Amino acid sequence: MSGISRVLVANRGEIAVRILRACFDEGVETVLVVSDADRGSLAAQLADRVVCIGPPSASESYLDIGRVIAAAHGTGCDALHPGYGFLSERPELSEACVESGITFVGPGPEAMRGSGDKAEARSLARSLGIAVGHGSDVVASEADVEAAAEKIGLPLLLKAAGGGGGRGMRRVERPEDLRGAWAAASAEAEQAFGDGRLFVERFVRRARHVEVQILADRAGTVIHLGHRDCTLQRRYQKLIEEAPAPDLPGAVEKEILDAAVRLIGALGYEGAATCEFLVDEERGDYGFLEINARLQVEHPVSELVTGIDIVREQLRIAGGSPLSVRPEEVKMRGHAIEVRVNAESPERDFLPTPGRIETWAAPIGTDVRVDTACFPGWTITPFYDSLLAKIITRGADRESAIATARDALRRLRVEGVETTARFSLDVLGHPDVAAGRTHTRWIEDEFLPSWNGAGG
Amino acid sequence: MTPPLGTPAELDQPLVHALLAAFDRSDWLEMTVTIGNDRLHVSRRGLREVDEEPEAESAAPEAVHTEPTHATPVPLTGMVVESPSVGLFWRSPSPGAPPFVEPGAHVSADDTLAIVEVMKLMNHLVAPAAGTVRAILAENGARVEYGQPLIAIDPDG
Repeated sequence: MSGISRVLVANRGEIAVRILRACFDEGVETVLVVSDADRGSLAAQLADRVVCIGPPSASESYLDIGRVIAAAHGTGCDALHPGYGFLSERPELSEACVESGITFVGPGPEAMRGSGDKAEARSLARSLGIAVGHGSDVVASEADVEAAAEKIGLPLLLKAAGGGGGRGMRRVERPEDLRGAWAAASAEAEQAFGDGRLFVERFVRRARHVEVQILADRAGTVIHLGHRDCTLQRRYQKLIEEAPAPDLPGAVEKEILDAAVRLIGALGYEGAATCEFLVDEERGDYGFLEINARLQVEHPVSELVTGIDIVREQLRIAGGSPLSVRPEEVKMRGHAIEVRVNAESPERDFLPTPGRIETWAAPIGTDVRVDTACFPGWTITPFYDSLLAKIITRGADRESAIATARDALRRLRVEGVETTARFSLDVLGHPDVAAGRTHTRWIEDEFLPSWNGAGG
Repeated sequence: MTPPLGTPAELDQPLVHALLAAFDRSDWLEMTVTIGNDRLHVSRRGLREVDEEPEAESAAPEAVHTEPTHATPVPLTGMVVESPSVGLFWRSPSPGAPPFVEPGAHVSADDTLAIVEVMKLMNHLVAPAAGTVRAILAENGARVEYGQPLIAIDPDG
């Protein structure tokens, strides 16, 4: 029984479809906002109502808080789900919802500020005795960044305090590059997030990206749904994710799960959250990176191994209901893999390839889930991201989950746009992946240089 | 009652009347308006057709002749100013003030015609060219969507 009755879905693409599905399962009505480019989208066909809020440009549609709130008002919605990306981590949207009497499906503005600001989240982690990657607090000047580099040592990473996605990020190998990199990264962060503050962290050569999925309800119950491994990335964009993270040292596994629950608990947080950690393969230790105060693209792998529907839990939590499971009832079973299929050309440095999808046929089965908004005849426009589908498979163990993912990728039929499916098929077939011998730059540094895209 | 925002736009009675009134005052020979699944076609050549579901008959004032539905629609001559955003449609600068324009008024390019309000942000709709206002296509205070036709103007010359 949900405390909300009509949800405004403030997103597009596969995640809009995913949220509509959870609303259907919870018996909640849906209103979808679309830009002029998305009037014919799959989500628009599935929603109970559709409101066109602006032109294709995201800044005048999906990124415009005023228009999204106006649409929610005009259609009598009592809740708003922001999905991921777009406005999902903007405290201003959470705040505007509070002011408008609309339930935001996610944390309140204060908890979002506390978790979304990386520097603040790190201070909190440090105060809770949680290991934080060797790094600095916010650096505000060239002198500060040089002092931080002195302490941390090179190579290091400059990262934006106000956001992620690789923007405002620079790797510095040589002392003479430090000042130039600081200026460039700060300007980029200012432009992308309206916040030019940076911090510095040690650059780990063989790093794994491991994250913990958390759910927290209004009564203060905080549970984790285990961990995920998102090590297979290219330029900080995740490509393949899995749950659980394989072969974590026992101490590291227990500590990060515990750290994530304590962090979210300390924030007075409500909803779904992810705590990201960097695991240093060479040193055998880990450090807290950041909190993502929203649903994540890769949430389905946790759903497949726990059997818990994270989006439905989000709706329940927002409606004031307690979590549907108690901590001791969460059980992990088997292994799950998610492959992001993007409309990009791996042969041309992953250039986005917008176009009309002439053929779309994706295999779906008991162990294969496909989250997508594609259908034959739908056009991938150049206005938004290039994600076509997430192919998620499960198996009794990692090996069988990977084998099923490869089978599914071989059977995916797409015509009209180039995709990354063949590339991912080859990544998953590589012996290093089977053996778990990868790190966050493995795709760029080791796989791609020897990859023959033609498959010959 | 204000039509709920988000339902497919349709040719309802007030809109049909507004369009017919605009046509009456115009010097156009024919007019075809298509909104969603509804199509209104009006002609001065003794042909009149209102193709509206489900009340096609009652809405047609004088259905003398029915054209085949595959007839090529005659484009609406003149200009239609569309809503720049989702929001509320206001015909006056403030409540109680006289409307910016009435049908029949002559306007210059860039004259304000109406306002679409998005969360207290006032978007001014301006005339794209000098001309005569033929019709106001939404009620004052109506909830409108992006791209919705709001004001029809017959340009000078």
